[in-house]
Amino acid sequence: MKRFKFASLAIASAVALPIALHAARPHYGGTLRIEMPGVIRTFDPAARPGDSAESAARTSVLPLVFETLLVADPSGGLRPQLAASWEHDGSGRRWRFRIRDTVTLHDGSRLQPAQVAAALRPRERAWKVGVDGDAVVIDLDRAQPDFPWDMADVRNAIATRTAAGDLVGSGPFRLEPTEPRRIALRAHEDYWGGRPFVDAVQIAEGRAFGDALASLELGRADVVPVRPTDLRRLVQRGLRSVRTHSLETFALVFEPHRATPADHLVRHAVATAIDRATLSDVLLQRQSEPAGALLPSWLSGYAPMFQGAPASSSPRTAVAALPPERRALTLRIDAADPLAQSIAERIAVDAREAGITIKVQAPAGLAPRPDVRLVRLTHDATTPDRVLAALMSALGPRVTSLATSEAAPESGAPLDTVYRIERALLERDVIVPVVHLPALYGLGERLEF
Amino acid sequence: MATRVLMLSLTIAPLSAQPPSSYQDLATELAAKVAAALPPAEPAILSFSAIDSADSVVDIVDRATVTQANADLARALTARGVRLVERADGATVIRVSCHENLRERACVADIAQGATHRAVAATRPLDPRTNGPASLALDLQRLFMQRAPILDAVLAGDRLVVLDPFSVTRYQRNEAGWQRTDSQAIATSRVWPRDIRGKVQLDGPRLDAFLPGVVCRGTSDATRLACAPAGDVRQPWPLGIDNTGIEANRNYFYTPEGLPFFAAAPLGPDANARWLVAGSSGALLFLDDSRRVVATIASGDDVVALNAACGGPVGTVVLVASSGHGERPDTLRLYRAVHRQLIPAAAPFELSGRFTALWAAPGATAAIAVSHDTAANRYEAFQIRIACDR
Repeated sequence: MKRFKFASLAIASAVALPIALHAARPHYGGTLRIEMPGVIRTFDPAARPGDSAESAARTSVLPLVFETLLVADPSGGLRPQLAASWEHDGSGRRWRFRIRDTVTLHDGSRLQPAQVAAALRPRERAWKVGVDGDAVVIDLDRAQPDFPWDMADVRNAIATRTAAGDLVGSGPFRLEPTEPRRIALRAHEDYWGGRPFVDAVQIAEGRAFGDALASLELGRADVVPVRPTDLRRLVQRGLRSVRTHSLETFALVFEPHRATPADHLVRHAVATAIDRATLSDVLLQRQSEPAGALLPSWLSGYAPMFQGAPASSSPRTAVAALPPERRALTLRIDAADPLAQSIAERIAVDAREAGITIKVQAPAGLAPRPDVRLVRLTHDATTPDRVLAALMSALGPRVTSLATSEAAPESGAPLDTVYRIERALLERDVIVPVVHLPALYGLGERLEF
Repeated sequence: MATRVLMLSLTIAPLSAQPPSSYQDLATELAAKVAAALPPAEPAILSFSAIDSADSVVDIVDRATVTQANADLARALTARGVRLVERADGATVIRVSCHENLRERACVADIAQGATHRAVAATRPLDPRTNGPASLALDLQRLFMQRAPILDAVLAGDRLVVLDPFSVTRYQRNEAGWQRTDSQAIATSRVWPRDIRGKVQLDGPRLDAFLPGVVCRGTSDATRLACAPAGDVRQPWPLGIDNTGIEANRNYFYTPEGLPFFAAAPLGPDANARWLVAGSSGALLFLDDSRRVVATIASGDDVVALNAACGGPVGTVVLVASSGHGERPDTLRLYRAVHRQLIPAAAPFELSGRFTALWAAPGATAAIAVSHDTAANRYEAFQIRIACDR
């Protein structure tokens, strides 16, 4: 199975392919058909996604239309994109990005540094964005040696606006008007990086995993996201798949009334009882990583420090001595997430071995207050400081304050600071990482990787 | 003489795919931070985190690199007065992990004293444009071969000057290959050492040939070559480091301070040393500005510094020749010299014969390597350049 670091790369690689099988040379033409569960409400790169499905969809689709000044290199470091080069003044407070002068926007006009500055100006209050010749100059309120990584974030992609308020990008595909829950992309003939091979990309949004998989099997779709539990079915049908590195983490998050010091024994017992290796190998078909930390290793670099930590298992006798109501937990999951249901049931089995009873709750409406939730955390940044800050933001101050008094790391925070904060975040077992998941895609017969 | 170009793409692949990424350069910095965080004379246990499943974590340091980094760190900690112990009640536990993320190579140390944890880290950015090492490749071009030992060769446009123990011979390139234009004997009564070394240098119209105890001077386009004994005061050789010349019946040089060495490579500022020399004991030595040994690492028989203009910072790159001692092929290895450490920059290149000479060309834009193919009984001179792979 081919592996990509980013979801955007998996999709981008698919759309970069010609729709021609076994051809000696690539042929231009054809339409790539994609189905996905997320629905993109707005294409404005600066908008916040409504849920994890939309976040995943935006991460995959937006880079086809809108480009950032720089882009993260899967091999490490940054690559120039709309910016041909970049430099700072030595202090790390003033950054200068020379804009590529060969970029044609989707409306046929040439991208100007002033348009880039106008697009970036509202993104952060702390940025003072100006233009100097062919360059965009950004003054920061503090030294930030790794500021270019912010310029590789899809939220800072460059979208210009027409007089009518429509968004215009510079990416390899331009948006076409279409019906609701469908995205139509047309090849940008004048793309500075070379016209894509395929003529068009059609994306059906809001498709359930099962329906999308059926479309793939029937030849109605070329690329669909799949769940780990679907992989066997893909193989049986003779279809292939690709995967990214881990982009999501399942974690248990205890509610305030069970996040007290008095309940630490129970929380720790649950945290140490989960057989993450079996969960990954069996239930998730080896398409995941056991999670000792919130950040997967490819993003943090230090995750093995958490995996290697000696687990001081809670004596079962100590747990057994607790009153029954303290040994019982209600675990809430998203009723629309069958994978979460499977993982939660497995956790309940493991917890039972440690003397803890877990009742899985997947409410469609009102339900009793849970003790703990199984949450999906999406990693949509590329540096450890930014990923952890985004996770803490997603968890919210109510949860993080139960776990630690540490604030989220600032952009550019050194790695030892990020490590210290993550360790503090996990120390009380209020947040318990379970498993890291990649994005998986099934490929139709028309595609050849 | 036919000239054949061998393009050896000993590519320094992206970090995720290259041979063992070295974390040696981080060990020194991390050790300093750890030592600063520990109370004096506090016993400490050092443990390195390693991952067995390369399937679960890509871009991971392999086990050999972990072992090496562990040893480097232990040495650096001990040198800073940290008392490492195997086990002791109440000892501080230092857990270290070295890995990469998208932004940097990193070594993180978690220092646990009881329930109190403290973290320190040493990192190097991976940014290939501004900070990271550029991708390089080695180009080897076979220049010339002959039966007589080749001591050195200099390429100047379409001309080639070859130094052997008996003569300096000039060649001109034409369609058929190298055409000999003239040859001047090295007139001396000196008996050459068994492992004779020689270096020829072109400086505008001037030609100098350096041999053990003999210096020959002439002009690059004339036919005259005057050789004279170097005299009682030994003649320094143009090696990029002050020296008192080669011992007349030996194959090594001396620094003014009396340090014997085979070869020297001047280093850049990121090396935190002024020269890397191949010592007469077979070790590679880092020397400071005063030509004092400040670090000893690895082994090598010859070394030159090379320049690479790759658009991004490459740092100091050195080419090290090592003998296989008859059991393995002789090898050429490319390294980056960083913080008194050598970081592999390409997979080793195995020579087909026995390596006999390695000299830097003027400006260090190229190097000349000579190997002896004992089966064919001929010497081959190669020109080695660094090419940028991106």
